Amino acid sequence: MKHEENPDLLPPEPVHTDALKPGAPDFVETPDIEPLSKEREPLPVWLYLICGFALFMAGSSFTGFEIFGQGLLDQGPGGPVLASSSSTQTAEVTDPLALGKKIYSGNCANCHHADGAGQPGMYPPMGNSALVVGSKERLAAILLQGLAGPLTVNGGSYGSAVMPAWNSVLTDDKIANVMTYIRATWGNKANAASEDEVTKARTKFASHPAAFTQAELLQIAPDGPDPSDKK
Amino acid sequence: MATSPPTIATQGYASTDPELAAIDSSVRWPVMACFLTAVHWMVVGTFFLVYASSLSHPQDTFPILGLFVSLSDNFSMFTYGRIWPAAIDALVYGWATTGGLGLAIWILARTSHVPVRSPATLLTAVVFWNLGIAVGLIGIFLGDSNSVEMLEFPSYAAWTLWLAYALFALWAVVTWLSRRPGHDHVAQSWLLVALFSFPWLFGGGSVLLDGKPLAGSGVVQELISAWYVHGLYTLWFAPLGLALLYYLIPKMSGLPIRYGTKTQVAFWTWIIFAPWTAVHDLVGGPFPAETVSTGLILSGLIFLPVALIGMSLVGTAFEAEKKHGSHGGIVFPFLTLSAACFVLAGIAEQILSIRSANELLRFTMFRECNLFLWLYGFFSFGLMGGIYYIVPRLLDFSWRSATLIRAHYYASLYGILLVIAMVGFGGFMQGLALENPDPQVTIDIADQNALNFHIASTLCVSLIALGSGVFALHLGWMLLNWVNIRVRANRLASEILHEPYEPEGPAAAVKKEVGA
Amino acid sequence: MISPLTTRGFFLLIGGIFLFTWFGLVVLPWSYLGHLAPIQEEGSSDITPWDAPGTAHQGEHIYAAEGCVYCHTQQVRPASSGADIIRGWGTAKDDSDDKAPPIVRRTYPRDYIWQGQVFLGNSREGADLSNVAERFTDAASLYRYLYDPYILNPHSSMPAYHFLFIERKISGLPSQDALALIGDDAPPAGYEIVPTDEAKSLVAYLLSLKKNYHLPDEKGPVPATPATPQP
Repeated sequence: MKHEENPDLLPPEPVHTDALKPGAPDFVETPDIEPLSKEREPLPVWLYLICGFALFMAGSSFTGFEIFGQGLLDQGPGGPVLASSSSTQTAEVTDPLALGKKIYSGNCANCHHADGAGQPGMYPPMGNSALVVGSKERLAAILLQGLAGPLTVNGGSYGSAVMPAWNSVLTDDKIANVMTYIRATWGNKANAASEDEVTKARTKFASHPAAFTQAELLQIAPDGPDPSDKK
Repeated sequence: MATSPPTIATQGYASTDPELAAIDSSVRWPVMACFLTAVHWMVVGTFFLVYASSLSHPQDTFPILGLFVSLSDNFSMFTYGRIWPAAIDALVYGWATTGGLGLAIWILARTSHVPVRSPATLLTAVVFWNLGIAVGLIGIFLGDSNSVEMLEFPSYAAWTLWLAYALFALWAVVTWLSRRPGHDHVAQSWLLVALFSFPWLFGGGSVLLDGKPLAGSGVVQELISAWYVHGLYTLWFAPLGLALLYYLIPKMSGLPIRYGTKTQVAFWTWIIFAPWTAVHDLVGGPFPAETVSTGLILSGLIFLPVALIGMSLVGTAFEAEKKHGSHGGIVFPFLTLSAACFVLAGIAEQILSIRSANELLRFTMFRECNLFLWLYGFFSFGLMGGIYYIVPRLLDFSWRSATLIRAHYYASLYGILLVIAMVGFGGFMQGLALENPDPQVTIDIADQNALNFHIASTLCVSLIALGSGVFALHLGWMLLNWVNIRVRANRLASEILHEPYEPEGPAAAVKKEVGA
Repeated sequence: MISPLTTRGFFLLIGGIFLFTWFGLVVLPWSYLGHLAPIQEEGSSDITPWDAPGTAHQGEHIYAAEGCVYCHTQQVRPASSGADIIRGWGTAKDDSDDKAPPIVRRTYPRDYIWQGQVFLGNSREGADLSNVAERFTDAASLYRYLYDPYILNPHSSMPAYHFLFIERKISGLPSQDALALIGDDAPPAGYEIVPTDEAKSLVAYLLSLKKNYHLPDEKGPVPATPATPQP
């Protein structure tokens, strides 16, 4: 039988030094003993000394500056006191209109001008424009994806210029702020836009390939106040 | 004629205790899968680490670096900013965490004293885990990195990892609940802390920092990132490594761990104080003063648990080595090294909790030294010792060469000592230049001061990598031999019996011999 | 450890400690710092800090993909905490007033509110970038530096980002963006090196990095003020 020709069932002997044998310290099967010593061994004195020292060092972190002033930064203001007049009041700007105005002047005023009047034939005006005071979803669509093609606003025709898409340049909260601003300025009295509305519009129009045309916009919503705008 | 089928005589490495042998054979494949994939990622990650490290010093140092540099210049995949996070993530998640999961499975199974049900759940978890890591690394190379320390994996990979972990955690919960009561082991407490903390750390960090950061979060992102990284060191790696040490040191040496009555204190003070080491990455930055100051105080107090654990483990380990002679064997020194590096890592954290030292060292390579001490010095060497101990028991097969294991040990020992000397000291020198109040000392001068230490760091990492390479090759050699036996046995058995050979496993072989 | 606690007690305690750390390290500071708004001085229409243009936000993605944060920080520590101010990293020209002295200060949380992803960084192999736009004032100089950092610093360990640029044949007139390179870096005759879109976004982001404004935070904590409703 074949197995007589192959007496070895096992491969050649490995490098079986004593250290690797089953009886070697690392490979002998030792029982699980109680792992923790029960002796009450006293801790060495140097440990207490160093512990005390560490506590002292830790405690010294408390000195030298106030730590419980809410809003105070690590290691204080860290700069020279403002040279400019220290009596001017400063306030945090959270007002969407103020933020929207700043966004408008930085992004929109180049074309639509700071007074919102636009340019005949090229850039439609903002004041009393049905597109601005109407459906917020539709307005968000214009800002997100842009607008191209012939356009009629307040009786004037436009279309020689293309409005770019701002979806990759402005975040939702910024688009909401600028919408709030243009809907409340230059005689417009439409309600504010919220970031959630813009986010919803962004998701809805994400797959739209290019700039909208006026016809497509009218399909999104007809002219008339936004459903949430109850006067 | 009916003959009892030939059994491969037990090599003697599997546990002679039938209960432990049964437990070992029930977790064999999941634990081996964890270890094998972990070693694979270790090789990958170490290669990337050496590559990245060599990019930190310009090409005039060694000619071959000219090739690396031109690769890095012309291909985005090879640039430092992608290779470094890939290296760290491969080592942290691919090597350390996967290996750690293997350790956790084995220790939990052993300390529960019941063979585990459903190893298939574990195997599925391991498969998804490795899938997540592979996909994540590819994502980093393709440019989807989040650039958040240790959370660079893009969200599609992070979620795969989290789901894999959830499967594993399910198994862990079931095993824990079905444990034999009255046999609780201190290693279980450490394990449970680790297993509990990881999903919340990883999930919280990933949700809050991956991909699109929370709007308006500003500097809070950095707070979360610091919380995550140091949470990983202190609540995942530390308890996992300590569980292994607390389990294996008394077991292998036969000596109970010293200062055992103080272990409770050490345990709870570690968990309370150690995660606050996160503020070491926040000192002087745009963060609230009270957070940083409280954090420095609390993290300074880790002196207590580090000292207690250090004295317990290192004291017992040295005693054991003296008792057994010749370093206590060839595997035990890894455990001693791991315990000693725990103390060194604790000392590094202690240094960073001193405000003036932190201000000096914050942005230097000392941070890397800290990482190496946790990842390599403490955890990797412990894990490697664990693998050397566990694999023979699972496969009932011997390692091939004690010399290779010794070589690995010495490369690791001198490697980590050099790391501390070169990278730790280098950080100090770099910091002195960076914080020099003379404005003429520009950052270029600081970089030149650091240059030699960067070169030294590459050499240190290469030494550790050499040892790791020896380890990986040795493991591969052992597996080849082991497979060889099985194949031969199969062939031989099919000739004799005309049917495939079914090994009954060492437990059955032992029962037969004992029963006879 | 687990006994004398029950399993449930043990997990409650661990969970509680975990939450304690989370609360102290993240939640509490978030309550101070998570909702900062920009500042408006009384009598001025200027809002500071203000956001960078949209291409800068795309540049954040490139900054993340290339891992710049592993060698560069973007936080200036106060003079009492380090030599950042001495190195000139906190210095910026006051654009609003030619005669005003330069602004020399640490960075504050309010400096980062417009950044999508914040790259404070933990390692300084290279210079701090909080005010990099003060040192590289135009895109051309940044393109040149990204293409070959060794021009300015022969011992630099910064990679040369050739893959962010394209070498192409000059068709007609040379491109406006083409880099002006000399010596070994210069492309062969008839070819030019132009930045890719990624390079342009990255440079736009880097050019937005300057803290050339004072913040009232330099004097102390600024209380959050409620928004004043506009008429």
